[in-house]
Amino acid sequence: MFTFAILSQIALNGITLSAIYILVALGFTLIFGVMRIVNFAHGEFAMLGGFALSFFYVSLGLHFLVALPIAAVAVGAFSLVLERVVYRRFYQREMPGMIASLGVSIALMYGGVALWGTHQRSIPSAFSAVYTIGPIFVTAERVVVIGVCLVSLALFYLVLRFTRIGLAMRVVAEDRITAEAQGIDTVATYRFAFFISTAMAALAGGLIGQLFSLSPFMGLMPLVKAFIVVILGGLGGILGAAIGGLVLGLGESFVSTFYGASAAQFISFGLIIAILLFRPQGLVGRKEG
Amino acid sequence: MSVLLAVQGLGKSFRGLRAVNDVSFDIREREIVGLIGPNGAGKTTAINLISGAIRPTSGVVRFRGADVTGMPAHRLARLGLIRTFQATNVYAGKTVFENVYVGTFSSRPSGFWPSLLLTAAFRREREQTRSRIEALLEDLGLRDLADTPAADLPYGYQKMLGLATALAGKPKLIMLDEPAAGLSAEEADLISVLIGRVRDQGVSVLVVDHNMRFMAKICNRMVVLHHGMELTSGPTADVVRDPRVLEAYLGTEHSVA
Amino acid sequence: MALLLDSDDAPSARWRPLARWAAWAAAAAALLAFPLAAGGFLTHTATLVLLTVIGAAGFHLILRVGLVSLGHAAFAGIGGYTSVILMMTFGLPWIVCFVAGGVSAAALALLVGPIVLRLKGVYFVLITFTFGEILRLIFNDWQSMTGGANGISHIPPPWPALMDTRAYYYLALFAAGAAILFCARLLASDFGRKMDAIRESESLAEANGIPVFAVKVIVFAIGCTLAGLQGSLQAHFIRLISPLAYSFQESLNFLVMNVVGGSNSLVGPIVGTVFLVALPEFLRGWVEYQFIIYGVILVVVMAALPGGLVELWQRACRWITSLSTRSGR
Repeated sequence: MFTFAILSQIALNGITLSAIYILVALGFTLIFGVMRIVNFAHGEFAMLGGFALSFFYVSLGLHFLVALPIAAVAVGAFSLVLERVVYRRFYQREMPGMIASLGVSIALMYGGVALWGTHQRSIPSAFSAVYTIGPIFVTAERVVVIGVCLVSLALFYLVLRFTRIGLAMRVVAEDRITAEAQGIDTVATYRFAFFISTAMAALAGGLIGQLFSLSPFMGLMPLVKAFIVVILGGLGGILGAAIGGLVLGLGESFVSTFYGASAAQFISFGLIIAILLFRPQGLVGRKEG
Repeated sequence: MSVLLAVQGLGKSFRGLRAVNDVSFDIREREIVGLIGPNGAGKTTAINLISGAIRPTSGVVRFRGADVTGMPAHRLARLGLIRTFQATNVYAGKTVFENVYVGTFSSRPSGFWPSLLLTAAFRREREQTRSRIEALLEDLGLRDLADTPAADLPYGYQKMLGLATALAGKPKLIMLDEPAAGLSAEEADLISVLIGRVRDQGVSVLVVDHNMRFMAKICNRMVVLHHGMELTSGPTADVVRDPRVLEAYLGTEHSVA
Repeated sequence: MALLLDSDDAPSARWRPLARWAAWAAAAAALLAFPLAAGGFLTHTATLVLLTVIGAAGFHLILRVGLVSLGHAAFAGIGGYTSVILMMTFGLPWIVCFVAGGVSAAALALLVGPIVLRLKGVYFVLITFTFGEILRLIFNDWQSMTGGANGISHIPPPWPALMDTRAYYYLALFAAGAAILFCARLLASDFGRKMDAIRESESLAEANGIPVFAVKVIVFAIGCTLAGLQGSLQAHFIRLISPLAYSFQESLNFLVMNVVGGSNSLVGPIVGTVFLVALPEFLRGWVEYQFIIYGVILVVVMAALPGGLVELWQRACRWITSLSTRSGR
């Protein structure tokens, strides 16, 4: 009964989820790593990404693959305003920063309600083709989701690894005081990290809007997933986010297929509690001090 | 004079790195012992191990005859072993009086209900504590500042307040982590006089510092740490003339420069 | 009253005893007379404020040892469901159910507290958030007991006379008053001083002989008990419970009340609760913007007014005193 076909179908669904989760969690963990802020508004930037995509793709009629990056950049640019007005006051202050980000989250969520109403809407499917590879059905939609995620993850990695600003982000995350002493422009680094983080969230939000649906309240789901992923992988780590995202996406996909969606939620929540207690640094993180 | 604190073979490794290795020494009653060594020698780690802030990987700590290895700091404080810190020694938001009041907790009955219900016995005891605090503040010259928030005090006074708070717990042994760091020469002198008076009242003192001049003035004996190991120990006069000690200090000065 | 709130840090409150007594008496009289003067809707709202204050005060206690629990509403849920299920399914008298609501929240807090309190700062926030979500899932999925997503409706009042909103107001007033006095006394006692010491510096408090971990566990349990009691009282007042009422957003409301009112004194959550429930009244016609305004207020308070509305009031008082002394010269 659990044929290879069924199992690989579930795995494919799991990988699609994983790709989105990693995209969300990477930005979340980047902001924590660089600015020490647990950004509770992260999910709202995903929500904005969904609505931005809907605007550029549905209302303006741009091609999906053009509309998606434009939407992400638009949200990233908007987030820089919030960075300047709100977030910058709270860098390196964990508790006040977290509470302020809760405020941003509420304001954006209900800002969304005021603009777009509370009803759920959907983004019409951009790709309708279905391929069959052996016994597995692969919709073009999923290929695009995975592809977009892979491309942006690769870009993210390249920027972080091989550019000056990427190096600056890594150094600031490692040791801010030394970074400042070395003459790194921390303000510019923060701004860039913030832009990347929210733009990735917006990309993920667009993909979620395409796969599932769009509403001002849709931000809670990606936020919770980001929590789980970064706890699995350790707050502030990049590799950890990737592994955490894969574990969560695949795990959810298998457990919810066989035991139902709420079982999957129970298990993932139970898992994070266990990890927080026994390995607060995450599964792959290293211990501090 | 009987032994108050006995440290034997104390060791701690972090991720395989030995921060403190096989350190042994005694502190007797009414004695001021200095724990010295260049920066990064493991002095603060040693204090953290003894005071219960972190658990040693090896060794035994005995205080007043009982094995207290790895005992949580708040229980040690109630037994009479109280420490201060390099940086945070005051509750910034509380007034001077309230700071010292918190210090008295380790020397007073800790019942939850008497304080909540304000029993007559509790109020009597609190009145005594209040006059004890006032006497202590008077003694340390902090009397006029009793209602000042600790955050508003100049740095030297904050150090003094930290000491007052520790003394309010009626310690048998007090461990001071760099009590003179960041102070002017006059302020440091004041502190050293104070440490002498604390000893005269029957309290033993363990002082950690890397400032030889300050330490030589106040300590009866010294234990020298270098790279987490005990380099030498003995009466102050002998230790300060020991060429190995000088070398350890000069060696690091060179590497720093 | 003066004895009850006796505190060593009294020099700040140098009211003459008579004026102090008069102020307390006036406040008590106003609260007692409120339902007689106000209409049904206002009384209903005021009752909700009073009940919410109980939970907010519990949140405040936990905040006073430096912790933010985003599972607070879930503990209110434990109290609410326990009380309602015992009454409706097992037919126990209300007072037993009410006490059981508090006891169940306390028991759970004592069970979970020693585990989650090993974490600090944002990690504690994350784990309490997760724990709260697990509880909400249980409320949602345990169909046979909790009625699932629809919850339980037609909950009877504690006793028939309390069908009347005015009568319930007095029950809520009594409960809130008792809770506030208890918290005030606790914070003014030596135990409260230990709590504040822990918030300022855990390691220093530990070195001064304060059993930091034990104090945190006790405070967490007391705070959650208050949430449980509120949950019970509220369920029998609104006469409907569902998982939605105990979500993470509700915990967030407790945080907003405390932060906006001021997190340094017990007056903070009281002011914050009144403000947050009263705000919609001032924002009539702006209902859809209400939450946006909450969010903005939260940010502004964190950025510019860490002591909340209480601090704003104190600043204003100081400003007025300085004006009057200047003009007096």
